[in-house]
Amino acid sequence: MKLPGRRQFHSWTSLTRICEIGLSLLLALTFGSPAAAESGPDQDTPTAGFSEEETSYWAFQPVTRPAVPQPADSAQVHNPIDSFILERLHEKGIGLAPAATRREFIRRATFDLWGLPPNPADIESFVNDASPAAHENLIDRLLDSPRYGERWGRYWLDVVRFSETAGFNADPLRPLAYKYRDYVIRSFNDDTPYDRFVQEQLAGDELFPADEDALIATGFNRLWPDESNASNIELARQSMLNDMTATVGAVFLGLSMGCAECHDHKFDPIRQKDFYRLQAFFAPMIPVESAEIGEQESLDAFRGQLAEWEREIDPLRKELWEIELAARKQVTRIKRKKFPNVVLEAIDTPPWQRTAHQHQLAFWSERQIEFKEKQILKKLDEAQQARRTDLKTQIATFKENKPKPPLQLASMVTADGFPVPPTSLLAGGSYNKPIEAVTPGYPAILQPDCVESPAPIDAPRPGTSGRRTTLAKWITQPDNPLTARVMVNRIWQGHFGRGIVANANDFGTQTQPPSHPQLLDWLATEFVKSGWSVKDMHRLIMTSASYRQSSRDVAAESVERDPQNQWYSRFPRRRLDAEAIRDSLLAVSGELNLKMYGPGVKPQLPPNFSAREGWKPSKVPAERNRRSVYILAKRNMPYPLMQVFDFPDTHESCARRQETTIAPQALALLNSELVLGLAEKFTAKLFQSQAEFDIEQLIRQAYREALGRDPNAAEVAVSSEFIETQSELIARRRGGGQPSRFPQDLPAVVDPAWAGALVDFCHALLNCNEFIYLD
Amino acid sequence: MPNYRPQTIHYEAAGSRREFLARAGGGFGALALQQLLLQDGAVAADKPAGSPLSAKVGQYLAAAKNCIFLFMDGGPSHIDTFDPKPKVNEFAGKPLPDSVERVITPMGVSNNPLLISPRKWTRYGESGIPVSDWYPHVGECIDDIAVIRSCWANGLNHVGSVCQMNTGSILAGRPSLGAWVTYGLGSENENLPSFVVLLDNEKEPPGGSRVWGTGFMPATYQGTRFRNGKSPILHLASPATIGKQQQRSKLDFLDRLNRRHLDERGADSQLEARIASYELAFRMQSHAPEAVDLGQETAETQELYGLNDDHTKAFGKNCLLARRLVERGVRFIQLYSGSGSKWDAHSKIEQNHTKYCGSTDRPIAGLLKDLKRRGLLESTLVIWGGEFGRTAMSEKGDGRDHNPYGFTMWMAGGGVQGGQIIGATDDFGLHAVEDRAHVHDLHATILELMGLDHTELIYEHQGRPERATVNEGEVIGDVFG
Repeated sequence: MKLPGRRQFHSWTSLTRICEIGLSLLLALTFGSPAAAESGPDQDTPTAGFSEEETSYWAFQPVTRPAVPQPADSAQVHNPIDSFILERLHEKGIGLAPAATRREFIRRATFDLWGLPPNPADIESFVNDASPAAHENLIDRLLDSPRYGERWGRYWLDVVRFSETAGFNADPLRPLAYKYRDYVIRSFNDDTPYDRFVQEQLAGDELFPADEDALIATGFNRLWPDESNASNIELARQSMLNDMTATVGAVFLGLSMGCAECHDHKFDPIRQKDFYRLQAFFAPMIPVESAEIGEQESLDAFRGQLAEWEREIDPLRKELWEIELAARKQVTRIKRKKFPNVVLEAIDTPPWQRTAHQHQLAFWSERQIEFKEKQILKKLDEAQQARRTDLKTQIATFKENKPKPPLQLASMVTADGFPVPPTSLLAGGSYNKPIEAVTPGYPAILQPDCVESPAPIDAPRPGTSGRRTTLAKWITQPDNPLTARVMVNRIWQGHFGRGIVANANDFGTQTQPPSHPQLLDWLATEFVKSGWSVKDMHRLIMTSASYRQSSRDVAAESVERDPQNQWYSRFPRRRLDAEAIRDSLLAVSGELNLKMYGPGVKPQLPPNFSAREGWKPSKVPAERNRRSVYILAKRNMPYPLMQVFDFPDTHESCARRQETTIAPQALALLNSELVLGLAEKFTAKLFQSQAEFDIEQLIRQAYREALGRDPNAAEVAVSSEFIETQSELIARRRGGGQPSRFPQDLPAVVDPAWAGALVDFCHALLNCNEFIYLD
Repeated sequence: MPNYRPQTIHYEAAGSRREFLARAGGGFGALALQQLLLQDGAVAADKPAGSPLSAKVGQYLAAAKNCIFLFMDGGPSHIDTFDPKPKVNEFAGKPLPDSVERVITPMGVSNNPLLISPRKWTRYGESGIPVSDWYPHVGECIDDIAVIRSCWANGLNHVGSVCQMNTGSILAGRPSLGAWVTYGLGSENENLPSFVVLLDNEKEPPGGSRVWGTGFMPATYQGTRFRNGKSPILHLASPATIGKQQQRSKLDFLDRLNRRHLDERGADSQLEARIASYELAFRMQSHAPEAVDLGQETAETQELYGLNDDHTKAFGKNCLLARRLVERGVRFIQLYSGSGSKWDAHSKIEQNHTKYCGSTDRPIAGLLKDLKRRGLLESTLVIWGGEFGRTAMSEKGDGRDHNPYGFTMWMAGGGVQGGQIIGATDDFGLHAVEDRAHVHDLHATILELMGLDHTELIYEHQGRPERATVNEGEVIGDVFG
């Protein structure tokens, strides 16, 4: 798929073989569906080359507002979601499970919205809340907290493959990338309407020039992996564009556009040309590290003054450029050899005269031929040196009067350059095999009558190409059949662990059809109606009876008739994800630092983990205990404790986390000094809260903190028996002169072996299934 | 009426118990799930115990059960080791003749004068295949080796090329070959990882650990880097502050907590699997240190691998360890020589390759001979090569630039017909010209040698049936005996 000039599938025959699809599909693809063939060719008349099966595919149909079903037994209905869910359950002769207990519910809701365990005081106050609106109030309180954006922002960061490094060999830091992460967290906390959120990321620079956050948002267009020493610059540029195209398709439209890079999509009605037509929206994009921010008028004024100013210094800087150019060519003679002429021409053109394409070529090449000021000087004769000094002095004088923008912001962003470079359909996806020029456009299957036509580009203001704006506006049109469906499905998936459409990044034919198509559409219309409010969607879903169901109190016939829980006859039990596990460990042990925002932090690595990465733990120890969303997202080295719990690879969009159960996870939680250290802190925290050192009280408090509930009598007995046994074992070791561990600053009255046994008890709680799985 | 009928179903939400178990099984830390599957009725009770993925095996009756991939990190010079080019010396000091198609190289050496190759070549074995004086001991094994001289790849720089040789693509994000093999064949030893990576120094190869990662596949199939010392797996050993009995007692308590939790909730395969994962972790604590204990080997064996010589010790230890892992059922073992691009001889190739060929020659020959005498070579595929070869054109007067356009890899054992040369480069070793073998072809061949049809080994991802060979590649038939 990615490689130039190679064969694609061997043949259709082997394609069907590899895909384990039957002959019927082959026939269907070749001759239309068997049913259509039977009823005569006339009914199978393709629309603009698409079959009826393709044009009638559910995901491409307009979203309509389905009528809410009226289930016979409406006692279980809290809101319309339940009506849709119950309709299917009643077909199976079953209903929803009874409501979860309040204790279960607050744990579920807090992890769901915050990724953190509720603290014992909050649990008690919710459990005892007599208000009929207790659940609603809880949900509102959770949504109002900044912890919410740190949780749900992270889901979005998975989808956009966020990373703070560029990847490839050097994996260099992108020091400003964190601003995009912070923007995402802020946007979720502010409940930025989703349509605006999409527009800001794709085209914030064009649409909202006065909004600092909208500019930072365009960091979305910069998240692609980037080879810092790429030799083949044209290929590097094309790889970036391909990555953007595939990502935009998956993220906003739920379409596997990437499958159409080298050929027409093998399964969905997406043509190779559609891939490049979508790509064309990004053709003029120039990566920049700073943005000018201000109202249109003041920006226009600034740009006018700047042009004027530049005209004045033009002869000076031109002369300076020319004097230096020859010297620079000499100094970088060897480094230049790797680049073809088109690249060298780009870097030899003064930056203020470069075309967009030259800017792009220069972005990948200029950084590879850096040189020092001193080297240049050596290559200049005395006269040139003198003239150079003179020119620089003159320019410096002018610089004092250089017009300033209303606000200049350092961030990883995008701008458009001119003239817009052409985009071509590429043979087999090879960057150097253009077949025909294409103009920006949406996938033909989504256009009126499925007829491919160019997108009407409308530049919102001077200095913009308007291409990304046009795309963003089209994506966020309320009648786009995919945008709202795709996003409500992501939200649903966040709450239930799986989407109504199983693959949140692919609404195409390779994904099972939606389990509840009408519910999906009802939610999508509700989403748009609410002004694209994500928080409203949370409220809607979380106040449903379907969400409030127990995962434990399940009728036998529900297990029998809905064995996979595909119809939501109970709440699905879920393992916490990597962030929630680490953040819970920190929270329960009292070590979590809730400071928000800023460059990625570096917690400790396991000993001798990787000599290569130069990962020095953050200097201030408290910084190492920040929430996991703030850990430096390094492409070539995901943080080990996170990686082992299925933190995704950041090279491509992740629709949904894997959920593996493997021994290295057990080893990490059992044997890492980090987790043991937290068990010690947890023990110390218990000692502080229970000054009597009463074993039963300590056990109770530990259960409340770690598991959100009181232990029963049997559990207290088993725990205290364990602590006693363990205490003897440790005492024996200590007697033999072997080391043991216990909290620092242990009160003098406490026996270290007994304290050590409590550490082991706390450590076991942090390892147990009840801590890691959510009912 | 909208069309809800899927044309095909490739992607199923993991919801079923069986599917979950399959996902949990097969790779490192895979659980002893046969029992659970039996309960589930997913496996017939009379079927021999094995990995849940064993059902996927059997596309071919394969000779190779295990694979040892010797990766010369940085790119060894094929024209100085296994692909003699008299014309290079003839044209030494002059650029390539105009008839040779020019290429892009990272350092732009296309028009540089050629660098002489002062190697002495000897024809070895019955096959009489020439090997240079940089690899005399390997030369002695040449009758077991198929030399593929016509390899080619797409990357120019290390990271993309190492990535491609491991994953098929120059761009990151795809599973490595070892992960595909683990996915396809499962594990023969539940107490050890089924895909192990050994480095000869602390530096990782370009791209770091994702080179043996799983990309879009579950972490279950990932390679595990063995570290030096008695505790080769990360977090394998309990800290010194925890006694063995103390740990066992803690695990027993944890098990009680977890079983009580499970009892209150009824059958749940996820919870059961996690309980089992702790038992497996405990068993690994005793199995892995035994596997890496080279003290169990005789002095003669140690010497055969060059453990008595400081130059060959580091790589020799890894080669010997690889054999021990093969004996214990580890499926795929990848050894990096000069990890961190140390073979990358842009200058002073004479010193560089003398050192790195020297440090690998005896260990590799020792490995081949030892496998053979133990009857393991037939079932163990051994592969040698780097991410690309090097140019005949000189760089900096005494080095060679990267050459992905034509280079050599070799294979031995595991169903490979030794003592043969496959394919050829042009007179200057620049372009592969006969029987060209792309990386995808190499991968297809390796998979086939291990009994996996690369067109049928599918992983569904994002609506796309993914293959190790990125839907390309053809098996190099001549390799097979």
